[in-house]
Amino acid sequence: MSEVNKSLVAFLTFLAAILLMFTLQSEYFLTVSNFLQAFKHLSITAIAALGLCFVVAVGKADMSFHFFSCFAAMAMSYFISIGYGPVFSVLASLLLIASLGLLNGILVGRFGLPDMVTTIGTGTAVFGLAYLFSGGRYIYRNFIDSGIMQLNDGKLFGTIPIPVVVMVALYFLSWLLLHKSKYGRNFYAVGNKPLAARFSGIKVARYLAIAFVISALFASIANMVQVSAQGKGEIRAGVTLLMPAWAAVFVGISIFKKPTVYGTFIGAFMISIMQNGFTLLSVPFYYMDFVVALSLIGSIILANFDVITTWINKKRRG
Amino acid sequence: MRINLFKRDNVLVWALLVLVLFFSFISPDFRRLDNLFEILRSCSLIALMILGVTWLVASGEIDVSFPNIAAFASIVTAYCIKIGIPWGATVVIAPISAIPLGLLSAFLINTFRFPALIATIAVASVATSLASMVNGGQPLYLAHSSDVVEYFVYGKIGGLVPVLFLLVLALFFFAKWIQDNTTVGQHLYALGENRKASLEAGINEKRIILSIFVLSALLAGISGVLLAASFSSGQPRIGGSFFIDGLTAVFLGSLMVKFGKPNVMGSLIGAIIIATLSNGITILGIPFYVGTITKGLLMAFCVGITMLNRKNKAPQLPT
Repeated sequence: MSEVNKSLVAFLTFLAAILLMFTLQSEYFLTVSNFLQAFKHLSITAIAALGLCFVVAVGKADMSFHFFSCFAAMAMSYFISIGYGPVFSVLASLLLIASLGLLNGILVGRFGLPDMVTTIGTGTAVFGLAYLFSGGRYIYRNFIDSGIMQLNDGKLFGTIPIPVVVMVALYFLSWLLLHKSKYGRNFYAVGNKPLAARFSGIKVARYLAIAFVISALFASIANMVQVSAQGKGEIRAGVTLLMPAWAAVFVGISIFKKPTVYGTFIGAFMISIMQNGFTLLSVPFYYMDFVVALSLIGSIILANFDVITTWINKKRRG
Repeated sequence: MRINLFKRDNVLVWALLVLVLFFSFISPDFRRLDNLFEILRSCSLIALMILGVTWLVASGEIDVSFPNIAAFASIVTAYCIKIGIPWGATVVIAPISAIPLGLLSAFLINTFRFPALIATIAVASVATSLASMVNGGQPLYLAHSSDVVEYFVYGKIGGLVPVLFLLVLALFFFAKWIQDNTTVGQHLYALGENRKASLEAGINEKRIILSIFVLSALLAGISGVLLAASFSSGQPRIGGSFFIDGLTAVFLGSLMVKFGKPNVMGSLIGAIIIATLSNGITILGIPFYVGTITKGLLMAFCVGITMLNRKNKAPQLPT
């Protein structure tokens, strides 16, 4: 068995064990309505993680996407509160956030600033800017009448929730871009060896910029869904996206040895299904944080399995 | 040693002076002597938390878990008091309880080659959720306070100079001595300059990383105890402003003394600048998010200056 297959089998066994445990513990777990609910929840984590996947693919770290998503959601709520329609509000705030994401991309890509620190800085600044819309208060006005809540409540053909449709569409497009096109190979080339990529004629700075824009955009879409589910513009809603998104991407890497669209989905699925199961068992939220953190740690340990073996061997020798 | 204030290395001291003069000029409340000393007191906690972080960033790692570890220690403090452990033992137990979290970060980085950012994000989350488990996610109020600990937090010598700041100042001078006069200090910066070369030179990278992470967690733990004393409660989710304040101070600090490299004295001045900024903004009645925006931009700006300067020194390939 190849390395990838081994870790895939290990992972699927783990997933099956989790599913079995939840099925035994809660009779509601294995029902259609719960799964539709779980998929709706999954779509938020999964979309945010997908954007991050692009940044990790070009070998950088984004510590700002959750802050950017707060800005986008507040901008959207603000546009709605002053009377614009849902479509305009969503598109306008996505445009705003794309330009802010481009700023990240330019700082890191063109000027070569260190990715983590710069994005922590820009992210904090943008989070501060998000307060400008309402001074940090909830935005209720027009929210329920405007139809924005269809973003979460709406159903395609009367069955499939809109968030799931958005997720599937974004994953399909990203899969085409990252795994089925020459641009996708360029993303990985930039991530593996920027210098070699530059000498092969790839415009490195441009790919870095695009990755950061995609990350900001996708996180914003995820948070818009989240906010429209809550029924009010809340500034801190997006802050919680950071951990699960990173965890999902790294679970994906631990299976497929590189950031991939399908790996990210599997990672998001695992984390989301655990969160759903624990919610059904009415475990307090902070235990879920604990589990998400442990699965992040566990997946990276798995990803470096060769390192573990050398470590164990060393222990044996010593 | 002759101190030349007009060197570029001391630009931050001038920035601080300009900032203080500016706020003093427009606000009579700001320029009162007790307010100026209050700024020094409020910067002490941040300064305490970022001492270890400064060295971690200097050696090419990063630590984002320090506010969460401090929050964890604060709730451990409250819990120890609740179950009847005397203060004298608590001030030892709580910082020590934070050390395993630092060990975990170092272990993940050293053994499994985790990127420091990811490892400390995970550890931060572990710390927060452990802290929440202690009291169901709620703040835990201190059953009774201790005069000695209160004196460390609020005490003022001569009614003016904060005790806490003097202690932190002494700690920073000691740290400066370690940083500049011992081999450990030299190895630290060697790691940051060129990891591979310093390994070839026989520097024990893992031991240094491990000890700084333990130091960082220990100091975060101590500030957690002080936090608990100053809020009269242990809070599982303090994090927020300490995170950006601390990191901004470290990167501001890298603009002085050793240009482009984080260092302890720079971090101290950075922490004072951040505290001055927060204090001035509060006193002038400016909305707090203006401070958030400013700090974020300041941080990106410092990193930008450092990197562009480094590029000018060592010619690189055109992008």
